Amino acid sequence: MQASTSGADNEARESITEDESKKHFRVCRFIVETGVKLGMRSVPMATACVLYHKFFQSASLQVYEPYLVAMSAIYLAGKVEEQHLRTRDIINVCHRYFHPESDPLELDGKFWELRDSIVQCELLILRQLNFQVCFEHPHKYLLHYLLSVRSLLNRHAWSRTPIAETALAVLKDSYHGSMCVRHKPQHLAVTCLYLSLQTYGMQLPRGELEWWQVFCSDITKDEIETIMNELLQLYDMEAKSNRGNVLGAWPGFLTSAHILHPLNPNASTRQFYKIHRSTFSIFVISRARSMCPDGLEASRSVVLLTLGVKG
Amino acid sequence: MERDLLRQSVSHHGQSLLSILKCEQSENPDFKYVAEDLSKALNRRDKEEESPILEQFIARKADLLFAPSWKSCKPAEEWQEESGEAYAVMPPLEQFMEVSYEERREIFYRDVERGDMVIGRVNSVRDFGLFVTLLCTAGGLERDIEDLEIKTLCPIRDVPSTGNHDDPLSYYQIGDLIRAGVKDIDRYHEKLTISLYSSSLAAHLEKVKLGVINKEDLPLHYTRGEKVAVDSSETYEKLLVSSLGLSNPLNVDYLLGKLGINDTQTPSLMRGLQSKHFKDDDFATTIRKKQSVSWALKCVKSGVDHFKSRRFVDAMNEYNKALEIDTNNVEALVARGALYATKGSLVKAINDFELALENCPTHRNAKKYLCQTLVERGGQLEEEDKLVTAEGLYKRAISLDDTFQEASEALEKLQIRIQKSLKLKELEAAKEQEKAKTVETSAEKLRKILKEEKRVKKKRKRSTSSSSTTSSSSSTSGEDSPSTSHKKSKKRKHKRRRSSRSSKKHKRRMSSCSDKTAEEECFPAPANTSASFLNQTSITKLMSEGERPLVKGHCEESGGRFVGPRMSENNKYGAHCGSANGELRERHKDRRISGERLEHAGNRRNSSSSSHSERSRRSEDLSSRGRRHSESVGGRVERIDKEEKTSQLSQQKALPCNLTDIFSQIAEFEREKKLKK
Repeated sequence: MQASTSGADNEARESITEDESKKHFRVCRFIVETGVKLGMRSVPMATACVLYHKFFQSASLQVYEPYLVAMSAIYLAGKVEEQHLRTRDIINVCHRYFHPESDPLELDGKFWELRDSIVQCELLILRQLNFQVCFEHPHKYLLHYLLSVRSLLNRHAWSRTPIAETALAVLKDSYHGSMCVRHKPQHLAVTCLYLSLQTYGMQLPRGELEWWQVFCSDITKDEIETIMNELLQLYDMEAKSNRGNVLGAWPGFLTSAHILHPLNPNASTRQFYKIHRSTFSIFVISRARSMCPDGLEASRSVVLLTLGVKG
Repeated sequence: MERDLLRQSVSHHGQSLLSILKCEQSENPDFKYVAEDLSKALNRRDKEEESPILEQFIARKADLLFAPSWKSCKPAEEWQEESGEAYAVMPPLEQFMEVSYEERREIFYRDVERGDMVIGRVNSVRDFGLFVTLLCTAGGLERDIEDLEIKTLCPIRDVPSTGNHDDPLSYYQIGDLIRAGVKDIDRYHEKLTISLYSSSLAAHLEKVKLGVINKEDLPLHYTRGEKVAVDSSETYEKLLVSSLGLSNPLNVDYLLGKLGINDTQTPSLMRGLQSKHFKDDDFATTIRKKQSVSWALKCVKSGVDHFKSRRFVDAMNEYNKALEIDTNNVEALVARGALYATKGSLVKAINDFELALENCPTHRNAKKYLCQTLVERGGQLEEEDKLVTAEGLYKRAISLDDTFQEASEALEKLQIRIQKSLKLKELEAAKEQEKAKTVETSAEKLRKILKEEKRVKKKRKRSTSSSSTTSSSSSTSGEDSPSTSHKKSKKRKHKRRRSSRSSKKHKRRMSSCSDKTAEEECFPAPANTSASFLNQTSITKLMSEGERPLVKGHCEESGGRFVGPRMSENNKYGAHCGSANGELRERHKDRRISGERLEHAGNRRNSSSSSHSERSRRSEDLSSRGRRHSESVGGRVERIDKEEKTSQLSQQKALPCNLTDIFSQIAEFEREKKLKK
């Protein structure tokens, strides 16, 4: 899979990373979409994304099926953040994600297999993360900062400017990338708020300290800018990713890469979905078989994989 | 697109943003309207913070960012003092930022509005009002204004009186902490007028109490701010982290609610995550429902198989399982209903069918089965003689399915049957009414007799004058043991009131025995003798006594109105019975009975013919007992006693001369009866 020459090697590595990050982007998009359909609150959804990112910081995409990990991350996050989700619902939504407009699954062997694999993978994630699954999220910081900033602004200016909505939207979208695990929650919160205020051109009164210095004493303007750039790159990635939905109503807005609706019966998408369908329905078994050619049961093989990784 | 927002943004970022915007949003019809204005709004701005990426982002997402629907509106809720537990209440940001004096003063006067709440300390009390130096704001606006030393005036007309007619200003002293509402602002001259009336507050603050407050009532953001001012090492971060509200796991939900944002549908700027792309069918709850229905159907199918092979227990298990998976599943309910009907629990079957029809009114099988079961159940009820309920069921069956012949036939049969039974009832009722009528006719006769007697008595009362002694003597002379009866009558009166029932029974027996023994004798006597000496009250009392047993035994159907003459008849019967037997053992009971009769005077009707016949029957039954006889005797005596007690002096005066006659006559009758026996 790697190129032979060093230069090509670097490029290949970069492209792998880019491919990987695209993959991660897609899977995180899957997590967020599923979360919306399951009625997940913002914090459990954030936990699910963080679990996913943290897992793949130390694991390889080649070994573990990312969509399965994502489903298990959702399940585990629901437990951690006290918004319990049923595996039946998760399986239903995910199945429909990959097989649009299909009938719900029947209570047969396939259903139980899927359920088993989710539960097994959950254990796998826990082991991979050393059972440290309690995370601090930027949400509460951001909300407190928003309240403080609100008190400083004129109430009419506040009521007509959607600062809070934009800041929260940017924060939610930041989970498509791995910045949630690479930065402190307070920094992320400050950056989102900064971005939001900048977007609308709102200016806060100046004092001895800048407002963001007050909220987070260990951050500099440059750091904020860096994080902000990362955030904005995520939006670019969406435009490039071919697993996006239709962008608005104006064809002129489309960027170079094709962005297609999942239901759009376009040839390239069909191809893409065929791959997905197959991977989803037999992902565990195929992975298991590739790793364990002696043909063990799918669930057992996932456990073996765990041991294989750790051992 | 919000024009003002765009203008603000463009003016902040400058020309570069405008050009990118035009490029990216060229297809957006909304943008075109706004574009012309924007070029005019450009300011000359220092370009140190130019950020092309940001501008590109703004331009690309402008259709979302500046859409009117992007901002969520939250209706103003009633303001509540924050306890600092739901989330961390922080001191004003100005304080941490160390915003300059002038700036703070400026923004305070810019942002304060009529209806805001402020807290301050009384500076001086003049005759035209109070001067208050502001300490802090409250009720939403959070600013650090203590050192600004903003002086406000609360004019005397805005100080509510304390109610004891003194000068209202005398209630306030220098140094008091006051909570007041901002009444008027002069932004140019930086003057503020406050008021202590609740009406000056904004709508959502109305409930807050204005006036003097304690230190504890000071808002949390102020008290925490004080701590920060004292201790310079307290930074925002430290304060936030150490606050209890930050560790509250639900603070995110609470604060999102405060800001008016729905947590399960948080906004996103990603194109793919816009809410319009989410179809209802993809949501978990919808899929789950569909799935439940299909799983339940599977169970129902296997249940039906069991049913066909007559494995009823298994079938019921399958149906119950199906209903657990999907409550109110129509197929499962219909199948279970059919199973119940086959087994014979028709009521349960009907319930299941009804429930199924509620959920799906067009289910053919449900209707069919329901009709059949209703008819069957109707048949069952008919046998149990619950005709009306059965009729209701047949009607329901017909309303469900007009063509169901069995139901209509059964209904017709039932209706015929009902009519027959109704006719029977009518006949019975008619008979009873006739009896009542015959009773009435004799009662009417008696009434007439009594009226005549009353008139006679009145005349006699006026003419005669008597003393209570004579009446008492007459009472004593009357019977064998009149003194005892006299005393006993008093006791009897009390006992009578308590033991009404037993006396009623006694009366019945009495009446029956009287009926039996003295029927023919009694008839002529009342008109001539007994009625003449009795006054109104005594007559009615007697009547009530006599009627009681009659009413109890026979006359319930005819109602409860009392007939005077009837009573006297009964009394006589009683008297005759008593004399015939001559037993005085149980006068007590007699007296009791008679007392009650006297009490209930005027409220009964008798059916003479029926009562006669019934009395005779009863007397045959109870002939062995001597009570009745003695009762009747005693009753007589008691009646007389009561007459004496209850009647007024005038009446008592009227009695004596009559009483002697009465007593002689009584004695005669009794002697006759004794002789007969």
